[in-house]
Amino acid sequence: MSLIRATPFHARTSAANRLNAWTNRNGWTLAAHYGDPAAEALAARLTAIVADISWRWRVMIEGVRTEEFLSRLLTRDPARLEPGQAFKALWLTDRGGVRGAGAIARLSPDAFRLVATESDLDWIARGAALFDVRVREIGEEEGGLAIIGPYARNIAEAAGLDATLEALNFRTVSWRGLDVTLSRFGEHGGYELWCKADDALLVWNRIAKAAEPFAFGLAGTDAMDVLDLEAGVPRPGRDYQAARKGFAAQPTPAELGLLSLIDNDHLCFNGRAAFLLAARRRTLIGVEFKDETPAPHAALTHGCRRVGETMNSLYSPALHRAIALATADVSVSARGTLLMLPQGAQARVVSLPFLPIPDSITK
Amino acid sequence: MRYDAAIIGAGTNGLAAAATLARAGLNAVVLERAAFCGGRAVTREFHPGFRASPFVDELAPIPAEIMRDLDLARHGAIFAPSTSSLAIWPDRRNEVLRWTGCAAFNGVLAAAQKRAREVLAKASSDAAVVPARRWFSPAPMPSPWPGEDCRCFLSAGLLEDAGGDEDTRAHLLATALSGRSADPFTPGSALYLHLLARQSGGMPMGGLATLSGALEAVARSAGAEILFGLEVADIALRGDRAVALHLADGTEIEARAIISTLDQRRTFFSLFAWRDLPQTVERRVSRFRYAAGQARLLLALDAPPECDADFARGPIHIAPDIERFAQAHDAWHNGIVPEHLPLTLRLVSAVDPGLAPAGKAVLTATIGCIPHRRFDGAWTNEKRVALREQTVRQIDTVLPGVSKSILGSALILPPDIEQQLGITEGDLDGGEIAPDQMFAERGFAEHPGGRTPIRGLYLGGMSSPAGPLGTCAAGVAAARAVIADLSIRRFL
Amino acid sequence: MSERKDAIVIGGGVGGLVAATYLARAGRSVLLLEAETSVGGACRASSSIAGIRSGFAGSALYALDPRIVTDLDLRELKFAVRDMLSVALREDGRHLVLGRDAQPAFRAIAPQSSQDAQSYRKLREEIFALAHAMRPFWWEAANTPALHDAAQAQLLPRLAVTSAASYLSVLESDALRSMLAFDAGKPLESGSALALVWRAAQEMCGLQGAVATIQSGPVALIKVLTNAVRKAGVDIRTRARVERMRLDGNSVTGVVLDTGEEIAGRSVLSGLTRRATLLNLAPTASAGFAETQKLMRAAPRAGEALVLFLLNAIPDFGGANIPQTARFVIADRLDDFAEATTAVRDGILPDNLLLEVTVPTAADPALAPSGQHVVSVRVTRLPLAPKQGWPALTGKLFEKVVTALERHTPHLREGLLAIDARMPVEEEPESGTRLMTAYAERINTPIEGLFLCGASAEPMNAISGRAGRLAAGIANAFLARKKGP
Repeated sequence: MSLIRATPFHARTSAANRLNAWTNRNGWTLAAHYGDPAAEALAARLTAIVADISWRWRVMIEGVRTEEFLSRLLTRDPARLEPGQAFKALWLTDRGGVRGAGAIARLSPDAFRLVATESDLDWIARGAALFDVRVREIGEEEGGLAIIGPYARNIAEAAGLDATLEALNFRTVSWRGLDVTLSRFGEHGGYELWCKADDALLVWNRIAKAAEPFAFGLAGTDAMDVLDLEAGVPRPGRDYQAARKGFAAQPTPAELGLLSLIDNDHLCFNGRAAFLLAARRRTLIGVEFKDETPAPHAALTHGCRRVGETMNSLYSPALHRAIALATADVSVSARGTLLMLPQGAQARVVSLPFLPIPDSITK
Repeated sequence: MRYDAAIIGAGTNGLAAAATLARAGLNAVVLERAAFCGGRAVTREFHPGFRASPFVDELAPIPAEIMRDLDLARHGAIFAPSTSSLAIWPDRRNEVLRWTGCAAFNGVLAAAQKRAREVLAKASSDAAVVPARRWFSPAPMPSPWPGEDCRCFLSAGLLEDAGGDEDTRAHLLATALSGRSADPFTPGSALYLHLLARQSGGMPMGGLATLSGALEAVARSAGAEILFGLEVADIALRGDRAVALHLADGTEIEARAIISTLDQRRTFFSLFAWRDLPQTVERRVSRFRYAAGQARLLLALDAPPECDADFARGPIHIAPDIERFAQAHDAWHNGIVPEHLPLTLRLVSAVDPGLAPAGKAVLTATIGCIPHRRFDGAWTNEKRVALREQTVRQIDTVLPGVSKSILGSALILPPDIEQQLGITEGDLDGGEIAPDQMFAERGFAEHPGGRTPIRGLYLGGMSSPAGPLGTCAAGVAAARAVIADLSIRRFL
Repeated sequence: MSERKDAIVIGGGVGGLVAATYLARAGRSVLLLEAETSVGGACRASSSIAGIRSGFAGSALYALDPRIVTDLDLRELKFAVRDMLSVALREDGRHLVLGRDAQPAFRAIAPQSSQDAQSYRKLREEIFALAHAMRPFWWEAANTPALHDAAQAQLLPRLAVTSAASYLSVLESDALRSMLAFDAGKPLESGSALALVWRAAQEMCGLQGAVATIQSGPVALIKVLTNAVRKAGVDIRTRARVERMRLDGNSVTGVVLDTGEEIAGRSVLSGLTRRATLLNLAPTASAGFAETQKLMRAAPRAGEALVLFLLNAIPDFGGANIPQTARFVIADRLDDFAEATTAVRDGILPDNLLLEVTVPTAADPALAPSGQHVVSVRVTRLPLAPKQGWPALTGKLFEKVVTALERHTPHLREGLLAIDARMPVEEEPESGTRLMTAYAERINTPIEGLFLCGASAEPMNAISGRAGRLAAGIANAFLARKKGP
């Protein structure tokens, strides 16, 4: 077995990756950046970027009792999804710890597809077995490209795709002879285009050609991380350690600021009782620093009291300063509160997201 | 109506000053002659469907502290990073040159950026210190400015010392001198290399108007008042203190401090009665030189010119040559349009596709060494057409076919800049970059931080030390001086 | 759909009956559903042998909750033997007879091994002292054990992970060791040492650590409980087998019978094991994914069978000197427990069976027709689902049991009139962890409004009724809370 798990777009990304800056995500080899991660992150806000997202963990969940299973698994009720729609939801442990978060899309009455940033096959497959539901991981056979930025829609249209898609919807279309799925699940607006591995290079060429007049840039994982952080989205594995034991009570949805992904009227999801009982002393806050040095996983103090910890922290080229997501006491979550880092540097609480999602320009 | 501070001019400096003052809890008002804000930071439709920023493509970078303090990014001021520039010679068309990546010149650039940062930091910290009253102690020796030693160097010489081949040196010089008139063989011209740093301000999407929109939003949300269509006629003095503004319609606006973002000559000679000015000030201001030399040609193209898209995003210098810079400067000095125009092209629609309709393009040409007053009289229409023809011809030598795809154009000359922006002679730098006009001497050496011999009046425009090096920097420095002085006055 | 009940009790075992009575006395409307033709659960007298009234339940009781006796006014319950002797039957005839009292016990051990007499004294003191401290925790809804001193605070967690076999390794006589090991249930498993303490903590008829039998057999217990239940006003339905539970979100709303009939209830108390309740009755995975998988992994493999013999004369276990009212333990060596465990894993009958024998008719002749006697045998550590299946193995099991008994009471075979057996059923696995959890934790389930009230909610599998009493309290509090705003 090769040590490199290459995505279907590897031939193109490796040609563009002149500095050979590679990184590993979920076992996939991906370009960390294509020269200047700051410029890539800015391009997503100003024009458009194209990023390889084949590393995302994707599973097909199929079977007569799929809806029943997913209703038990997820913090929102999949029964309200029509085929062609999707939503974002969490799945929790028995004690209400966050195990994962992802977008679940309904393909047909009995088939769903889950896209997440971190694999949790064990939990989902074992749970599915109780309901006689089949779970199939999708790997090398499919590639995905994200098109993000104000001109994302123009690019999709220029490429001949029907871009009239609401957020959190998807559509499988025949695109000049290629079967592709166009979806809008991303936190940063824009589109995701999923295709068979054999068609990947052709799809890349078409998108690159269509994107040319829109001053697009390729974006590696570094830039995507900056965008995620600016959007205030904590990601398992990078920002927090998702629960991996079935009875873990940490991390709670409240301290990760993920309460919006839990429907109050969805009564029967796994871990709900514990979720309702859990104390909500902590919450997710965004902090920005005075200077440009990030401070990941650092203690935050207020007065002499330790009130929280930063999670991931990066330099945001758009804001010209380092920013971080943090879990902290509810008492210090008010906007404008000044917190201290261990070295005496100051961090100011700001409202999330740090920056709004890149607006779409429709002309 | 009495304000804590009144600011003349709603350009980037004026708006940043208003935002800084308002955030400090002061009651600030901005008076703008035009019906819109931004000054040079505007974007206009110069041909139906085609837009461009008429005066400059990019501004000097906004210092990061100001970006952060004013929270400009959240109000929409996000800049596309500058792409490295390109030099093309028509006789060797295939030869393109990037000087980034050449180690010797990276050092020059880094040094320039470092110096610019230090100058801005000093201007800002000078402002925050209230000067001691002179009758208690002798005036302290002014502390030296970073980069003052450049005063005696030639820019050409300095680059020669750095190494590299002649083309690369010419390219670097073109970057520093783009749109200016300077002789690289004059002592002190090395100061222009300070300006290298300002080439990397970046373009916001939608043109520079986006930046002024963001600044206006910041100032207004902080509580500053911005009034349009009000021209300040003069500044009323009480003793040696400026106490109020008189508008053209006769209204009086009282203010404890006045920040003028106009250049020195406009500030002192148009807002004060001649006899009110102390003689020293009058002499100083009348000796201050202006060296306008920039013209701009905006072209609406039917199709983007054939060239590598990756290359097309940065500035393109046409045939830079150190000798020719000197010749062009001589011509400018004598009021003649140079034979070989120092030309920098920018395909702005390749960076910001929204400036042109789909499939079309906007090309801007920044022309240096264009005299404000020609030896043969005013700029007539024929002379304008001739300059336009000459420029297009020169563009055609490197980007063939551009002349055939022109749908429309606009030419902006120094007199146009003077008339539209109210800048003396149309000098966008607010005064010549010369040894006796930089650092402390750009303002009033004995009154640091934008302060002037007239108490209560502050200079926050391009004619102050921070002006040419950083956008908003001079305005914010003046605002800091006002905040410091007013808090001391309250204390006394 | 019939009218909604406050509580539905599934299973009419001792726990179910006690819970139903307490709830009804608290003013709740209660419906008790029993799958069989009559209530009684493990104590039901359903032997096919005509004329005998002794049920299948091990006739000896060592855990009946005294508070239930007073609370439910069960004073008509009479105890035939209050303080049963325990006899380890040895092939060599050197039987070991242990009473509840300490001094006679030491004297009985001395002939086996003088050193053991000393060791046992120390061991017994330790066990009884800890047992005393643990009583509130094992008897009531206390959340943590209230220990007397630091030594106990050290001992308790140690015992919770120690096997009885290794705890007893200070003893040298096989007789004493294997008898104590038998009482520990699964003496080779970690935590089984604590089972000895639990045993010592029980109280029968006011005597700590005693074992007793009920006059007229366990059926009598069921009879008085049934009376109490009826008096309290509980509806009882027999032949009503619950097929599944109905849930709204995570809250129980009722049950569905195998006939399809739906019965609404605001709470459900199940006398079945946790596993059977959550895996078979509740909707798939409603207990939680991790909990469900844990329950599936923890499928028990061993159980105990009960065999009844009807004899035409009284047996003479252990010879004439030993009263037949004692309980006899046949477990030769500790190794037999290991062998039994292997056999269970392989799904076969172990070579040496581990038996507990009582002769109910010795104390209460009325249990059998005049002159005839009943021998009740508990065969522990048998595979729940042997490879050959129980129908094929039953004959072999009888043969083995009879052979084992004949070693101690010859000619048993000749006086044998009838034989009957109840094959192993699934029981809640016993463990040190289970002994260390509080009642509330065992009674509550991940499903709101569903409580366990049977033997599976006890610290050990035993007929005690405490789980029923405490579950009724918890359910009552739940109902009160739910009714509120």
